Amino acid sequence: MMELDRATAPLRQRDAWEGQDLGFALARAWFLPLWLLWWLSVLPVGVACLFLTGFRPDLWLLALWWLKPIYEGPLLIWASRALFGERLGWSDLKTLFRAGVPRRLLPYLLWRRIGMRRSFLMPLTLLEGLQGRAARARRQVMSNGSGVTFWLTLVCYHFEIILWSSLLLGVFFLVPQELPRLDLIAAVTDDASWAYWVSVLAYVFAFSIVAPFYVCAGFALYLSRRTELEAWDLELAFKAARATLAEAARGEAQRPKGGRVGGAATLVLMAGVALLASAGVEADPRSDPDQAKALIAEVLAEPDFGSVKEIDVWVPIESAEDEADPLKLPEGAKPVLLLLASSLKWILLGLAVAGLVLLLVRILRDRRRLGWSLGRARRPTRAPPTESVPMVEARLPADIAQAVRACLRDGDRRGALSLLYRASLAHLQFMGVEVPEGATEGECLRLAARTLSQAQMGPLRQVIRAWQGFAYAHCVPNDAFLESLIDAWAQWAAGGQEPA
Amino acid sequence: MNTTGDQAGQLSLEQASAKLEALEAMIARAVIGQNQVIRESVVALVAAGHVLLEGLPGVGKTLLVRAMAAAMGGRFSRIQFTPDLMPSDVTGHAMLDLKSEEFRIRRGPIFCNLLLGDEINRAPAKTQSALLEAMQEQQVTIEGRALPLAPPFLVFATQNPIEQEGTYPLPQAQIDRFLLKVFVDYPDEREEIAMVRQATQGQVGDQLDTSRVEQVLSTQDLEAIQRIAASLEMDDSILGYAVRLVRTARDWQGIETGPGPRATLALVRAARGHALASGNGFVTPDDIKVMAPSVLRHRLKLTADLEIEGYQPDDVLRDLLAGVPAPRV
Repeated sequence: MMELDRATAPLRQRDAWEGQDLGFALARAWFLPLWLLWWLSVLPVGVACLFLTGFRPDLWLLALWWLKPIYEGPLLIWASRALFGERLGWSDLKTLFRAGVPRRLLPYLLWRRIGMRRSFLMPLTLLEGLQGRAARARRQVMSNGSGVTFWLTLVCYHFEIILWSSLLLGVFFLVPQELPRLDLIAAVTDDASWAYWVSVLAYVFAFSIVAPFYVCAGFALYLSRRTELEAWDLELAFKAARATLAEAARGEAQRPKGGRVGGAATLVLMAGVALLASAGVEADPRSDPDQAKALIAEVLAEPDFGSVKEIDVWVPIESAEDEADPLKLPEGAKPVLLLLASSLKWILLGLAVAGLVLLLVRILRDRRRLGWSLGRARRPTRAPPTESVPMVEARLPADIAQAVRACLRDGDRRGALSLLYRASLAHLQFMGVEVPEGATEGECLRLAARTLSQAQMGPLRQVIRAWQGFAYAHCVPNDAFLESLIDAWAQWAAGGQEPA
Repeated sequence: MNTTGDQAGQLSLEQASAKLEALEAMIARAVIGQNQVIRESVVALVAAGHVLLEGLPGVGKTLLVRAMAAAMGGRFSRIQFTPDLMPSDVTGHAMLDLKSEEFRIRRGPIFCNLLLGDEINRAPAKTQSALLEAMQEQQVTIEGRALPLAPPFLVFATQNPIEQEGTYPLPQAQIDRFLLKVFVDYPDEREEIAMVRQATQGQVGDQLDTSRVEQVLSTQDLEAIQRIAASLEMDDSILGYAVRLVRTARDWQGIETGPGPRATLALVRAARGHALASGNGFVTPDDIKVMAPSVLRHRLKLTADLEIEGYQPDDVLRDLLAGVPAPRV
């Protein structure tokens, strides 16, 4: 049984576009954990693919691109738990990967890999675990109205390309001229050049940025569809209404039956409103596909589409000698330079690894201060108990008046007035006035005045003034006044309504 | 309860309370309704703290400060913060006097007793910093010369919660220098009718009318009142309550970054001001609790979850104030 009221995002009926907005909002909120999780998933796969593809960057990128569903599974599982307030941490990585990369993911690496509804269908596979005919039926029911996932996938692809090209252009424009320039043509065509590797790494980085948004948007669409089908919003509304009515029923148990009839009538009315609202759903108007095809063919037949133009250009022919050794290095310099380059490569690699380790250490150390973690969310504390905090519920003696007089005899005036004040609050609660723990003296008086008549309030005002005067202004009341106050209080507590 | 006044200066506690009551009444002549806003602004005056006024355009933020300036006397300046405003436009600058062939300091509008900084978030960070440094240090440095600002020096800055495009939001460290953040909301229907009647009866154009406001306070009176407020009786249990509120806010569910110790100081100062403005000679937990939202709301940051849900700091503070036990022993 899903505990919908634990959801950390509002569950209500949304159209597909709103659903995507929710997904993007969730991705923004959880971006760092999701992004780290994506890298944790991709690193072992990436290293394995690097060897399997023989260090060919184009094949490596293709493999990483093709295996995207493997990295998206753990993200989806993490997001589904986080929605209900459970933050999976480092210790749960094994569970995450076990739940996020099952054998059922295989179709997503084969025929569904090139489909446009991956982000929407993956929650069905991973979170519901249906198989065979039941899974097909479920997909059919859920998929109605999921056309927006096409646009989601398309837009995410475009964002990947925009990010990738931005990174490349950023490197191209920002690297100083004295350093080796990034050859933009080689970055996209020459797979043997270092520029191509930069380009590939930039693309992988773009994957990592877009993936959390893609997964969360698909997940939010799935949530929106389930909310629509299973009326989660109504369930939550009824739960809230039931809680409100139960609270009202507890508080007003002494009322005649009319009140209960009113509560039941409210429930019936709410159900009626919900049914009326759902009755407004209209059929989806569709155009004739044959007409649309004919129209498309007509448009494509226009001269603006499909025309071919041949252009001849001059290409410079360079000498083979220049291509072989463009730098014309002197004899003996080449081995030295190669040795230097090789040493430099290993030094740079070492520095990069050390930097990465340092970065990880800093991140782990400062994750609490940075306000995010893969670990369990910090348990929120409400009011931390402190020793000096006195509660109104502190044990009160059976005979208040006698205890107050005893305090006065001992010279403990503060204790006496405090006891009288706390006993007054307890008596107010007995009379049906709810006094919260955080209510101050002024608020207690206002709460009492709202519910009780002037006569019913008895000596409350005088008790509070005496207490405030003594406790905060250190004005000592005389014994005669205190004695009369105690008498008036005793009379009030005994049921009399005579003010002091 | 006259002893406090005797020690503080020429005013007694009763006189100080009466003057503050008159000040509130005088401001209310120009600003119809908004009693809570007027009270909080007066509390800031008494506590010698700066105020960040936030509200939609046309709810009376500028009018409030103009009316306050008219009622309390002293020098009043207004700066309209714009993206091209320079720090020297605020603080002043050195200029060459061609007659004497010497540099002369030309003091900026900041040299006043009450400064209205309209739409403070429209100016770039550099200009904001110039103002906020003066707020903190009560002095301005021009060409290496430190020029003290004559007390009382109070800043009322306004900002608009909408139209955030092209603005420079104040950083948390600088926002912390405002004693209070006061929300100016729409008036209710009855107040709005009274306000429209007053603002249109015999009035040509839409100038801010403070002609009915008379001066009821001098800067000397205000300084004396500030001293009286600072020496009001305050029991340790009240201090404990203030500290407990602020400390609880740091660990409270839904608060990402809680208020610092400066918030506790501000809360106690504001509570003293509120007690005096209420006519009391001592501070009670009610004073702390009433002032807590305006002291704390700009000093805490909500978690992402609550921000996504659309919660405001005041919603969280309401729960917090109800949950922290008030002193009862």
